[in-house]
Amino acid sequence: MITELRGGRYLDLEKDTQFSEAWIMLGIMLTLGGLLLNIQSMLAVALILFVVAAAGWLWNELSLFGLHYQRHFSETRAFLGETIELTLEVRNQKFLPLTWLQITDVFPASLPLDQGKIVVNPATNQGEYLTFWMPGAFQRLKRNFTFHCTERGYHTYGPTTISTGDGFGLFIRKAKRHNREHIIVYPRIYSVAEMRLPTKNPLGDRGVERRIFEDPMRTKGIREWRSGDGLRRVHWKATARHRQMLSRIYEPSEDPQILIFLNVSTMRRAWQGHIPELLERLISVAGSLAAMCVDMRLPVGLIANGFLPGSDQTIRLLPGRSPEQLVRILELLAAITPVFAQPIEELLLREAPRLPWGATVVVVTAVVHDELLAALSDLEQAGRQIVLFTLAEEPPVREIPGVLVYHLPHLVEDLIAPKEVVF
Amino acid sequence: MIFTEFSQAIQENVSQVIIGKADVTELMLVALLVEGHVLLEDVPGIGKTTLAKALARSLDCSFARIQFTPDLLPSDVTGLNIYNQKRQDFEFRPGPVLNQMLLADEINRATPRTQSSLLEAMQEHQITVDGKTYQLPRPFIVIATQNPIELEGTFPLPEAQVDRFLMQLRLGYPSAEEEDEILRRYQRSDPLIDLRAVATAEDVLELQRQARDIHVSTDVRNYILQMARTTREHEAVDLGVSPRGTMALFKASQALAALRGRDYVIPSDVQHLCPPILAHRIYISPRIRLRGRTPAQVVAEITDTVPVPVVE
Repeated sequence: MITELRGGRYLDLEKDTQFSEAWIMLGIMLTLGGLLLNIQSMLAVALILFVVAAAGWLWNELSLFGLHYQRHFSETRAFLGETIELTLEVRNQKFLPLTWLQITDVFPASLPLDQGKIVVNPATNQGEYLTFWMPGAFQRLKRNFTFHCTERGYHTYGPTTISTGDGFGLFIRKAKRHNREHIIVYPRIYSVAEMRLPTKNPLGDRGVERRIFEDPMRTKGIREWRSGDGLRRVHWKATARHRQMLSRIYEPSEDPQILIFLNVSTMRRAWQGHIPELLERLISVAGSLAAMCVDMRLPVGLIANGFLPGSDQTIRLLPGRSPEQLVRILELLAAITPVFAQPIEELLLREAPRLPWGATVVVVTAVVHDELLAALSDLEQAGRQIVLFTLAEEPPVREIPGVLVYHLPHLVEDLIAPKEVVF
Repeated sequence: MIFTEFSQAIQENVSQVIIGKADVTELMLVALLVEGHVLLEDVPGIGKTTLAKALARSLDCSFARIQFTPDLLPSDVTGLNIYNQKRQDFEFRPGPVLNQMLLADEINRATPRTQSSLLEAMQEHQITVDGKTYQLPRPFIVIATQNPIELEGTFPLPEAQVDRFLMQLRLGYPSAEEEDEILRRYQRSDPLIDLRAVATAEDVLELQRQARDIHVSTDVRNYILQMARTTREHEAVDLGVSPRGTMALFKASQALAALRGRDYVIPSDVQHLCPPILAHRIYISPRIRLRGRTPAQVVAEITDTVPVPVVE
């Protein structure tokens, strides 16, 4: 809210004026001429000139006092395709009306308004929306808009440049307000049916074949007590029955966790660029799998070889069961960019030693090449459970024993150009 | 001992150790007076354990602490029968739950089965081990802590279990002045060591009895009911406050009014208690949560919209 003229509340305060010293000189000359030539009308004109200039100057000085500008969004987070209502509000909390007020607000060009046009400023490459207002004394004005969330992302509104001045048009005052707000548009979420996954165990059977660690909650037998067995391990009832110290044998268990690895690369080589729409589908699949895991009450995490805007670190969110986990994952997916740090197979092999035992590795990719298949094979042989989701045109050229593969071409069939048919 | 003396004595005593959290201390006294339990959710190093210990020392109550870990067994909480070969008989080794004040640290790190063993004890005020029932001491309060930023290897309490806690509190970071005072006060020694009791368990029991007699007018009672019912009808809420929650708000309002020196409840007592008592009991749908709305925000909306009764 703008309430002060000074005190660091404004940045880049500019004054632009139609008024100059020439007006003062003119007034002085008219006054002198009127006095010397005894022409009352010249004196009157000079007086009017001085009064108008002074009034205009004072009006301009006070124009930004008590002036408030706010944006109100019906939602600050939404899914792709949803509509958000935006209300712009101007309040003039002073006796002085403003005959003109121009507000230039930075709006994301990727979220077009239904009721207005966002113009891209070629100098800044940012979208700008101009509004003109005439707030009277102590008046509140509102304008309502709607826009559709047509693009996934972390969209920023603001800063705002406010221009106003006196009613005579002699002076202009500008101020910049760094009132940034963000709208997060989550990726589209597919249902299990849309992804055509089995409803039961879509991420594979979770039988335990290897001893991962002993679960003290699950007793499967008893044995003789050994040095090192604590009191907690002793089976006291069996001990009383058999009259010798007997300890429990625990069943092996693992903590089921899902780690989604998202490969943001849509082409074989980085220099080949990327296919934006294919990337969006990949991100949607990753988000959908995360939502599915949360529904199944499985701890799920996300690792991606893409960057967030302004960051040079890959995305790494470890599995968790918190109710906020899906929010965190979708926020990351909303912001992820196609710029990638390293090939997915390198990321997999780098992260593998740090993954918790029993974690299922779920890879989402649009490009399946030999290096990736080799990395998956290595991980499978090291004891990891692997599930591969591929949006490539063709299924993987070879099978990897132990790796569950889902080929989802139906999610991208509208992106694949029809093959030329030669007769 | 009267309520205001009790409150002031405890607050002053605890403030020697915990700086600047008088409102949280007051809410914990409310929980104590209505035989409720508290869930403290906050980041590490904020003083949760210190606050619980300070409260225990101030009340001259027996105190135990359990550090919850993924391999903690129910018997580690309740106790177990150990076979004594000499006497050819089992002897019961009581668990830490058989103390008047129990600090359950990082309760979300234990498995659901172990969590349940504590939560059942909290609800029933007794434990059963190998068919034999043991009554828990009185007064009895459980202060459980949860670390909200710990993601890996945690088991967040299910909604039905969180409902068993009277209130969920956050301590929050101290202000700059408070943190400066902490550094000065803890520079040479730990003030917790020198803390003495200023009330007894018998005082607490007596005040618990008296708190039930605090007057609640029909208007205020309806206000409490309306708060609870509105949570069930709110469009953002999938699961509203249970009758247990309504009762909790009712009793806690009585206790708060008493601690503030009144023998009647006023609407602002109810409003003050709504966030800590109701927010953790409502379940908002995942879709609403994804839009950035939290249970605390929904409770604040409800508190703002339910009409406050006015005495004419």
